Parts: sequence; structure tokens; C-alpha cells
Amino acid sequence: MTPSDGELIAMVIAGKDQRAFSSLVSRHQSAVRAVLMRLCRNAALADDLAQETFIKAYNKMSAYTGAGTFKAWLCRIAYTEFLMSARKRKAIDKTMEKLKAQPMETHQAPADGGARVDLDRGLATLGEEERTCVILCYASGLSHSDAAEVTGLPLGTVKSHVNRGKAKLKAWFERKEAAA
Amino acid sequence: MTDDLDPMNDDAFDAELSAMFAEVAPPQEDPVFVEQVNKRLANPDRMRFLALGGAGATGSAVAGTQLENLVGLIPADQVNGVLGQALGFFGPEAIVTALFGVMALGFAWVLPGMRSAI
Repeated sequence: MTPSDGELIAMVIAGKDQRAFSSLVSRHQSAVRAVLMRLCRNAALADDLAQETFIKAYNKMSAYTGAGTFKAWLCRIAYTEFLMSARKRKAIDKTMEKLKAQPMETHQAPADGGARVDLDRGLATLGEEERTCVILCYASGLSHSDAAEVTGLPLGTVKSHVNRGKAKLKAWFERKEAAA
Repeated sequence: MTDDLDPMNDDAFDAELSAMFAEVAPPQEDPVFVEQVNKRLANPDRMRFLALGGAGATGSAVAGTQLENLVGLIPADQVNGVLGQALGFFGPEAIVTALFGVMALGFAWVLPGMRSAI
């Protein structure tokens, strides 16, 4: 039987069990990386922040109280990492310039390129908080209340950000289709 | 605003948006990423250890030079107990060397334990 998140977390806390932690990484990496990729709009930077997120989670595992889902807890660490990295704007801009000169990520199929660019362009038209709430709910599948936990915004605000963001995205995609 | 949207259309777009995010999401299974995290856990930041160790050693050296002066000021014949006997028997240089040894052992004990704090 596959152990639950709770069982794996208990194994990590009890004995720093790295195999149990690897299972947690394997289970949640996609959601964490999806959020960071959309927030950063840069796969290499997002993966670096995702690795940092999991290392912080491993070291602070005993701080996870079980209130809220483990995925939401990881996403909160990831969001904090993103905010911290955004503050180091100068360093990031330098990295972005370097990365622009390099070919894009190799693990993503070329067919995804158009969809990714469209989605990122659409998301770029949203306000910062709208964008964050939409990404948290759609990229990692968090509930509105989990997204409220992660961002520290009131639940009602998160709901209205998601609805407004979704409406703006719908209008953006409709305009894009009409123009095509 | 969503209030102005047709609920049926909104549901359709909701599914469409979820599909768009799913299309560009990283794979559900990615052993390469898991391996990278494991490697970083196994090899913590060496530069930080070197910086901490270097700062600690410099601090110990500075403290040690002062300690030797301080121990040298203590009149060995007027100190009773174990310290008095040690001063008389070994001299201040040997005592400072022993204290350095204790500090070095302390760093050796503390630094590996800091893996979990990084």
C-alpha cells in the first residue's frame, strides 16, 4: 500500500528518512514546479527555486503542523522563495539576460511552446495578486482556502482575484482568437 | 467581471484554463529532479561550511592570543586547586594549546550538526 503524505512526513521527522522524503518530492514536485514556472516565467530559475523549496521543507519538516495540506505548505515555502528571489531583482535580471542567450529548457516538448507562451502572455496581463491567485489555484490545483493560506490574503479576496483573473484571461484569449 | 459571464460559458472556460495549465505543467514523474534534490541534500553548501569554519578559526586565534596573555598574568604560585597545579606543571602555553584543542573539537562537533540548519 502506498504510504500517505502524513506517514511519509512522520518518517522524515522521526529519522530524517531521505527515501521517504524522496517519495514526497516525487509526489509534489510537479505542483510546486508548475507554480514556480508560471510565477517566474523562467524554467531554470523555477527549478532552482523548487529545489530550494524542497531543501527548506526537509530541514523545517518538524514545523509542519498538519494544519492544511502538505501541498499547500510546500507552495507557501515556494511562494516565499519566489518573493525573496524577486527582491534580488538585479541578480535575477542578470540571470534572465544570460538565459535569454541560451536555448530554452530541454525537458519540455517543442509542441508546448505555443501554449506556454500564450498562457504566460495572458497571465502577464493580470494584476500581481490576481496572477498569483490564478496560478496557485490552476497550476497546482490548490483550493481557494489553501491559496488564501499561502498568500496570506483573506479567502474572499482570493476568490474575487481568481474570478476576476479568469474573466480577464477569457477576454484576452477571445481577443487573441478574433485577431487570428 | 464574472458576474457578467454566462455560467455555462464560464465552466467551459474553467475546464479550458485547467487544460492549458496541465499542458504546460512539468511531468508528474521526474526522477531527474528528485535526484537533483537528493544530491543537494547529501552535499550541503560547502562554501558556507568553509566560511563558518574560517570565521570560527580566526576568532579562536584572536581569542587565543589574548588568552595566553591573560593566563600568563596569573601568578601560578598564588593559585590553588587544579588550575594552580596545571599552571605550575604545564605553563600558560600548554594550557592555551589545550584550550585551542577543545575549541577545535567543538567546531568539529558542531559543524556536521549544522547540516540540518542549512
